[in-house]
Amino acid sequence: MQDKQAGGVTRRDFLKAAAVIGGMALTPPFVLKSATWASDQLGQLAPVSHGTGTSFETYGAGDVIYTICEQCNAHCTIRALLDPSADRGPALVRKMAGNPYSPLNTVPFGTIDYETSVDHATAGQGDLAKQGRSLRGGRTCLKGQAGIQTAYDAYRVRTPLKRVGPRGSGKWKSISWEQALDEIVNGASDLGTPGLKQLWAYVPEKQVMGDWQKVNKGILAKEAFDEKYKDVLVDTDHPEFGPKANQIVNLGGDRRDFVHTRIWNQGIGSVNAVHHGGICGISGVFGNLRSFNPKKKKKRLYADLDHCDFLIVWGSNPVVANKGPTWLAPMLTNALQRGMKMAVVDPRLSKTAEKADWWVPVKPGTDGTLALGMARWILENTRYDRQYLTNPNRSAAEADGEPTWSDATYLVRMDLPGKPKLRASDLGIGGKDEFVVVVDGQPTPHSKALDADLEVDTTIHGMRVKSVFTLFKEKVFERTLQEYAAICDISPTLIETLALQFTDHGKRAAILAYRGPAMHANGYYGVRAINALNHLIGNHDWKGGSITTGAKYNEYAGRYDVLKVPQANQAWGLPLVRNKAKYEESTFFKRDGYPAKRPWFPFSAHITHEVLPSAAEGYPYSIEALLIHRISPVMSVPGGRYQEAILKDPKKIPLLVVYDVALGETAACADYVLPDLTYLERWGLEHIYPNIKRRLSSVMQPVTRVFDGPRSVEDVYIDLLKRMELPGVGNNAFPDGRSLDRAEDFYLKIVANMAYDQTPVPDADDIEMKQFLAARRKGLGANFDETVWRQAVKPEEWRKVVYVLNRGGRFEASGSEYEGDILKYRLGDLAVFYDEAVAKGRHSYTGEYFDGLPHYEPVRKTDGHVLDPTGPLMLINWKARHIGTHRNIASAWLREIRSENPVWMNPQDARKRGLKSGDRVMIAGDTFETEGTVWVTRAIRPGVVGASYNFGHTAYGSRSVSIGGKRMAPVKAYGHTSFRFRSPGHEETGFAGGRGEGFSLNELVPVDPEINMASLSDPIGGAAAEFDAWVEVRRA
Amino acid sequence: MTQTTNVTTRMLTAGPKRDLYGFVSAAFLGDVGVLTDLVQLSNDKLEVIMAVPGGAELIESLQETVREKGKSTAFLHETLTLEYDNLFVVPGPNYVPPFASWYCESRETMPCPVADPSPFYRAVGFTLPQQRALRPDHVGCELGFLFAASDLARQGVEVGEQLGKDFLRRHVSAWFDAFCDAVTAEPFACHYAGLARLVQDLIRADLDGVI
Repeated sequence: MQDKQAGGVTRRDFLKAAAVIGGMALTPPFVLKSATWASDQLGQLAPVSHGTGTSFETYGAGDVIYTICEQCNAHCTIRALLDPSADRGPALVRKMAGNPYSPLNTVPFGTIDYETSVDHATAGQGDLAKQGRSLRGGRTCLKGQAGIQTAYDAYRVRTPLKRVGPRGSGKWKSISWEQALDEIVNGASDLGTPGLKQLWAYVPEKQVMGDWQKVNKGILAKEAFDEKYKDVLVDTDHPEFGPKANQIVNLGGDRRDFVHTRIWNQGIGSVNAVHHGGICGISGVFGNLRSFNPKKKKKRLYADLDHCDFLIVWGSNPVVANKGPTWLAPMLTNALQRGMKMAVVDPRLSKTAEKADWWVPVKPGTDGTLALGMARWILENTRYDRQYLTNPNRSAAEADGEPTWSDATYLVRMDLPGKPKLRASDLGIGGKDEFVVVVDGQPTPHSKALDADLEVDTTIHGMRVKSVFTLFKEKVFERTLQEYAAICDISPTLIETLALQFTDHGKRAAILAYRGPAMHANGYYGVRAINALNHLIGNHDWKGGSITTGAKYNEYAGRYDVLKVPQANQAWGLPLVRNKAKYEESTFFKRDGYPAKRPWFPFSAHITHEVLPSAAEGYPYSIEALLIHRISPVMSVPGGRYQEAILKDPKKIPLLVVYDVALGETAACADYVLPDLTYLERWGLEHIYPNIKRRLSSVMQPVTRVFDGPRSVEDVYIDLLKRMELPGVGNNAFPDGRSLDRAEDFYLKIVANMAYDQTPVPDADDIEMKQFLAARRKGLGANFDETVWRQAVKPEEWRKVVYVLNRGGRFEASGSEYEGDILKYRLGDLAVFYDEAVAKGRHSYTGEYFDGLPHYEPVRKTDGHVLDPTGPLMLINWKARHIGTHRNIASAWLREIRSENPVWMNPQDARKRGLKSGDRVMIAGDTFETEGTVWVTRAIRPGVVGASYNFGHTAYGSRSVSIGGKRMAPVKAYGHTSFRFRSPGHEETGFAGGRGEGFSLNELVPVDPEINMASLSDPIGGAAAEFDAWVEVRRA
Repeated sequence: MTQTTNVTTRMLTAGPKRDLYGFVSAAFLGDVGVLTDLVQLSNDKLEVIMAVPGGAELIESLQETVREKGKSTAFLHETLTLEYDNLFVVPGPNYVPPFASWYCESRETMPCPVADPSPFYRAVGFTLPQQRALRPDHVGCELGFLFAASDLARQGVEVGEQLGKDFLRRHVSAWFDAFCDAVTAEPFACHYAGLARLVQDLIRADLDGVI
C-alpha cells in the first residue's frame, strides 16, 4: 500500500501518532460482542432509510409503561413501548399505542380483563382482531402516536431561561434552577422584577370582614382599619378584593388539582387560579349544568351510542375531536352500521357530517333558534313525553319507571322581578325548599305530587303564576317555525324532519353537542335550548338516550385526603375576572352604577380571556405576578396580539413566569421561562371521560426522561412555596402529617386511593413487582428512585399501587352498564327548563334581568346591543384531526399530513371573488388581516368560511431566538427534501413544512375596543365568542 | 497481492486507526485523563502527534494551560473538566450539543431516522457504557463505534473495515463538520476546539483512504 497523501496528511504521520496514542493503554468504555459473533451478524445489517421497514422486535412487560396521552385534551389512556434493546435507562420511547385494559382504546372488541397479568397483556395471543389488541396495544390516534416527537423535540427548553433584553426581544440566557427560583422568590435587580416573597401577603377573611363591619358600624375608625391592613389587603377601601395574595395569578391548562386547589387556593391563598375553560367550552358546560340540578354536575351532552336509534350531533365533530375520537369514532361508525340514523348540525361538512343521514348547515350563532324551531313543531304536534313531564319529583318518576323528572310543572311567580319559582312556604303549605305544582286545581308542594298539571296560568293568593311548561311554550311560540327557519337558514321541512325523527324513537334518541352552539356570545341560550329538546322526550339515563356517566374511582380521598391543606391560607376575595360575582352587590356598583366598566360574570367561572385585559386595566385591581403553565393566551385567546402586548408590558404585569416545554409564543414574553416536563416524563391526573359507561380512573405517570434540565411544575411549586414558607408543601402538608416534597408524594397517594376504592385491587405479585421495576429503570434510569416512590404511601399499600400503575389506572369490568333499560351510572335527578338563578341575575351593563328560559337571543356586544355583521363572510373554526393543540406543531409526522390551515370557501362565494383552490388570499377581519390559502368546496355553507386553528406560530421553533448569544434557527422544513406544495383537500403524504406555516385564526376573532381589546363574551356562560366573527376574503 | 496479504494489511492498518478513534472517543466522552496524559509524554512523542493535522493545535493548547500554572496537570485536569461540562454536558450559554440529531438536517426530533445509529450498533453487538445513560448519537459513542469497527478489522473480521466506512459516511461525516464548526466557534472551547479539528482531519483521512 502506498504512503497515500490527502490534504497534506500522510499515512505515516497517522501511523506514528497512533502508535504513540496506542501506547497510552487506552481502555474505551464500550462493550463489543466477539468478533465471530459480529461477523455472523453483519450480513443482516439492513440499509438505513426513511420509511417503513420489516423489522420485528419481541418485548416484554419490562419494556412497557401505561400512561395518559396529552397530545390533546381527550386524555386517552396509552401504552408506551420502550426500546427493547436498551440495556439501561432512560431508554428511548419506541412506539405509542392504546391501553388494552382501557375501554377508551378497545372499541369494538372490548378490554382484556383487568386481572390479566401484565405479562399476558404484553405478549398478546391468538386472533389479532380480538386478543391481538394487547400485542401491539389498543387503538390510539395519529396525534397520540406522534407524541414521541413532543418529548424528543430538539427545540425543548432544557434550562431555566432569563430574558436579557426587553420582554419579547427573543434574547435569553440560560441560568441555573437555583438562580431562577431565587430571583422569582426574592426579585431580580437587573430586570427590575419583584419577588413573590415581597409581593405576597395574606390575612383571613373572617378577621378582615369582621373589622370592616366595625368600620361600617362606626366602632372602628377607617384610619385604624387602613393602618392595620394596608400591607396585607389589595385595597383597604375595597376589602372585598381580599389579600395581596390575590395579585399573584395563575393561568394553567392542566394539573389543576395540584396547582389550583392546593398551591394557589390554600398555599398562596389566592383566588386567582384560572384554567382554559373560557376559551374551551365553558358556556357549553355551564348551559348543561344549569339544565339539571347543578349539584349533579352534568357538564356535557352525550348519547348512549351503543343503543341510540337517532342521534343529533350538534356543533361537534366526534370522529376527529371531542372526548375522544379514539372511542367515539368506532362507536359512531358501529352504530351507523347497526342502523342508527344521524343528523349533524354544523355549517361545515365535517368528517362526522360526511357519515350523516342529514347534514344541517346551520347559520353560525343560530343553533338555539334551530332548537326552538324543532321545539315548536314538537309542542304543536304533541310529540313530547307528556307523562314524563308531569312528574315533579323522584317518587313520581319512579312510579312511571323514569330515572329523572323535570321542573315543567313548577309554578313561577310573574309578579316579582326576576320571576322566582313559587315556594311552598309562600303559600304556607310547605318549606322554603319546596316548589309548588298544581294537582287537580290545587296548589301542592312538588314533593307531595305524583302527577301535576303541565299547563297552568292562574292567580293564587293574589300572586300571578304560570307553570314552567306554560312559560316555555309561550316563549317557543313567540315565533313561527318559518320565522325560526329564516333566522337559522334551515328549511322548515328539514326542521320538521329533524323534530319528527327525534321524537320517533321513544327514549332512544339523543343529542351529542359541544362547542359549536356554545362558543358564541349567546352560547348559554343556545345550549339551554338544545337541552330542552332532550327534556321534552325525557331521554335522560335511558338505554340509547342521553347519558350522564363518567364515573371514577375515588381519587382525592379514601386512604389520603390529598386536596386538603392543614393550616391553609384559604383563598377569598373578588376574583380578577369577576366570576361568580354579582356586580350589584359590589362597591363598584355603588360607585359606577350601570354600565359597569368591564363585564361581570355572576354565574360562570374561568373567564380565561378576561385575565390579561382586566389586569391591564386594573379592574377591579391590578396584578403583580402572573405564572402560566400549559396554556398560551397569545395562541389561544381571541386577539392574541393584544394579549401579547399586555404580557410584554412590565407595568401591567411586573413579574411574568411561564413554564413551557418549548419556547412558545407566550413564553417568549416572559421574564423567566421554566422548562416543564412533557406528559411522557411526569405525573398527572387529567381525565374527563363523560361518555364511558363504566367506572374508570386513569393515571399519567413518568415513562422516560429525555433531558435532565426540565422539572415538573409540581416540583417547582413545592420548591417555591418552601422558599416562601407557605403551607401545603414540605412537612405536614397532608392532614395525616405526611410531607409533600416531590410530585410522587401527591400522585402516588391518589393511586392508593384508587386502588382501595370499592373492592381493593389485588397486590402485585413478585413477577409483576419485578416487571414494574424493570420498566421504570429502563424508562427513567437514574430518575427512578424506588425508595422515594415507596415512601409516598404506606408499606402495605405499595403492591396495590404497583398493580394499578402496571395497568395505567383502574378500569371496571364490562357487563354491568345497565340496570334493565336504565344506565347504572346516571343523573337520576331533576331536569331544568327554567333556570331560576339566571332569571334573578342582571346584565352588568344594561341592568336588565336575564331570561331563565331558552329563547331566541341574537349575538350581542359587551354593552348589550346586537352585534351587526362587520364583514360579508362569517368565520368559523375547528380542530384539525392532526393538530389538536398548538403544541402538536412540534411533530413533523403530523405536519406531514398538512402543514397549514387552508380557508374553506363555498364555490358561490369563490365565484364572486374569482378564487379557485390553492389561491393565496388575504383574510381581513375588522382589526386584523392575514394571508392564507383558499380551498373551494361545497362542504361549507355559502356565506361562511372557516379554517382549523392552532396554526400560524410565531415561536415554538418557527422563528429564531438567541440563547446565551447563540442563534437557535427555526424549523423551515423537514427531512431530506424541501417542502412541496400540496393541494388543500388532498391527503397525499409529502414532507412537512415549517412550524410557522398557516395563519393564526384567533387573531381574526373580534375584540372589543371598549373593553381594552378583549374578546366578546357570553355574559351568562362566560365563553369567549370565538365563532362570532366576520371577514372578507380577497386574492392576495 | 494475495488475498491473505490484503487481509494482513488491513489488519495492520486497522490497529493504529482503532487507537486513534479510541483516543478521540474517550476524550469526547469526557475522559479528560487521556488529554492530560498527552502532555506528560516525552517531547519526541509529542512532536509525532503534532505532525498530525489538528494535533499541533491540541498539544499547544494543552501545554499552554500547563505552562500558565506552573506545569500543574491537576489544574489542566480541572480546566478540561470545566470546559467539557460547559460545552457538552450542561445546557447553558456555552452549550454545544454533542448529538448527531441536533445537527441532522431536520433538527426535528431525536432519533430522526437519518441520525439513529442503533441499527449499526445492534448489528455488531456494540453496547454503550453501563455506567452512564448515553444517547447513541453522542459524538463519543459514534467515534467509539469507529473504534469498535476498526477493532473488528484488526481481529480479521472481513467486513469490519467496510462497516466502519459505511458508518463514517452515513453518520459521523454527515454532521461532524457542523459540530466542529460549532465547537471551534465557541470562545469557551479552548482545548476541545483542537480536539475537534484533529477528529475532523482524522475523518477526512479515513474517508480518503489515507489511513
